[in-house]
Amino acid sequence: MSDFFHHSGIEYPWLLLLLFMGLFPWLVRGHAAFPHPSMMSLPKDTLSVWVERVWRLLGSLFTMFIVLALSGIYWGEPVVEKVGHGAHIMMVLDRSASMNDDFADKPAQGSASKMAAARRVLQQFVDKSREDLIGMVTFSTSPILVAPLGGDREAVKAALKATDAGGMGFTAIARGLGLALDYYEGKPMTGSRVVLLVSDGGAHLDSKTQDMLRTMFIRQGASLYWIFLRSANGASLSAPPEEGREDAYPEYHLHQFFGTLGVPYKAYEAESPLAVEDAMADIARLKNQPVRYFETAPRHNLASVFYLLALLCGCGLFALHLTEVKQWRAA
Amino acid sequence: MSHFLSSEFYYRLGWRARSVQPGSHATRTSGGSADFRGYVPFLENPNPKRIDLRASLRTFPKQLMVRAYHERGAIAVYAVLDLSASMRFSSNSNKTQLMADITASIAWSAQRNGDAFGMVACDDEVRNDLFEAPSYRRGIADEVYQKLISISGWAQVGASAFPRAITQLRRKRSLVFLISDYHLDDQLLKETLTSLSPHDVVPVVLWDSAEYQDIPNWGWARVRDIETGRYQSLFLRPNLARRIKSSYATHRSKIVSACLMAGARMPFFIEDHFDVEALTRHMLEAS
Repeated sequence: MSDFFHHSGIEYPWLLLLLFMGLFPWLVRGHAAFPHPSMMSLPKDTLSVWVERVWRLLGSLFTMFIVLALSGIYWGEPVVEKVGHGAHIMMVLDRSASMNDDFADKPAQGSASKMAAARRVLQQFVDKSREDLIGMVTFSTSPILVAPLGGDREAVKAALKATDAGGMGFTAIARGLGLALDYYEGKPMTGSRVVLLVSDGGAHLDSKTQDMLRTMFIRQGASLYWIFLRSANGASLSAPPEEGREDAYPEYHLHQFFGTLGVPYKAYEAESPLAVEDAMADIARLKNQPVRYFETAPRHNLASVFYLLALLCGCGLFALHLTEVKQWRAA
Repeated sequence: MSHFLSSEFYYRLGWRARSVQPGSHATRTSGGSADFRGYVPFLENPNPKRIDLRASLRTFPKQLMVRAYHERGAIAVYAVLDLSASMRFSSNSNKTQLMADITASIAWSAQRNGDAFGMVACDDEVRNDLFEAPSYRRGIADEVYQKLISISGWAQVGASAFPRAITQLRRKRSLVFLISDYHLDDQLLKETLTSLSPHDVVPVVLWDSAEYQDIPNWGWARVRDIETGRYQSLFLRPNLARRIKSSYATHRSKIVSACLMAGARMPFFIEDHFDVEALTRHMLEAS
């Protein structure tokens, strides 16, 4: 109960001055009464006395509840602890032309483009994750939203199927990430947020873009997983490039930058379709951790509760009114 | 203007009055020829018309004996009225109307019987405007009726002047009808009856059936005491109705015992309407 008073409040406290009207039912006199020559000869009856008291009390409560409701009483626990299961995953898929190429380690029979491998694995991933909300953004020169963050698996799978058309254009990673992060804006944080970047190359980000991305990541509290599909002759993320050839390896710099984001970040270097599957399994395990977080809860407006209580009091008053004797006659 | 119905009842005294006015009641005054008292020597009552030879022959030594008689005399009949606010109650009957009817009937009967009629009314004061000294005049019943029926402006008053009504009465023993609803507290009732004990008091109790019998069985009612102005809540139910009735029964037996203790006659209870024959029966039975 003390908790209640601690967290409750009044929107228009000056209206509480009207609470004194609750005294009126106790003061009011002179309602219709049947005359009787002598009360001395009437027995004292406790029930009747209490009926009268309850009647006045109901009138008083009726007034006060309405005043409280009018003054906008609310109750709000400032901070609530919440536990979220499942993740909110925005898949950011690279559709640049280079995705049509093969992996670094060619499979024994046939050739699987990086895109095909990524698509297959992502489809499996979408099928497996039941509790997650999944959205998808693809990007090449500019980002395209293909499926908003939601529980609709079919839309995501259809979007993945649509990537069959083959990639084109450049790799505009920053804009893709930015669009994906935008979809977290204004959503309640009920699960860990994961941005799953599937890409085969990097791009140079100028410092302004870097700052913006950093701010957005921290603000949305999203962690970043980068599945780096290494090209046949591409550089590894872990090996620093030779002196003087830094510009040729934007992936390395991007990896370094992601490391400084201040949010959980992990990169998976995948040289083969098998490695992609391993990386996805890893991610699925990681993001299933329950998320415990605190949230400022909105106020609950208690006016309706008090109106309801007033209504109940009114019903009680009316019921008592119905029992009133209209005519002093034996039935 | 309404007139009273001339309804006469008969009454008899259980005692000998002291009266010089000729009337119909047995008195202690010797004389006349109605009530035989006994034989007295001639010299005590030298009236040759009343010489009784047989009684004279029975005496030894011989002397003349004379029959002696008591006079028949008139008494004063009083109505002492309660004008407290509770007598204004009007439901199944109008107590004011009932009181006027009864008082006029007493006046009428007294006048017909050759007795003097007087009236004293009390609320918290003895009401001088309603005082009637005992008189034999004709038409007194109608006068009294008109006076009582036109009383207006009842305030919230009690009947605390009741014990002082005795100061307005004759000192000779009279027949006093004490008309009230008897909603008086025990002390006042006892004082009143004690103060009136030199007289022959006939308590007349006016009750209304709506007070305690004709009440609804179910429902919530507020009741206002017209004498004190207090409110009381009554959640009526069969049990409470029963308790009200038993409370009135207790009150009734209390009134009876208080009256008998003070030497008054058996109270005459009137509920809703005044039955003059019942009063006659009551007066003749109880004397």
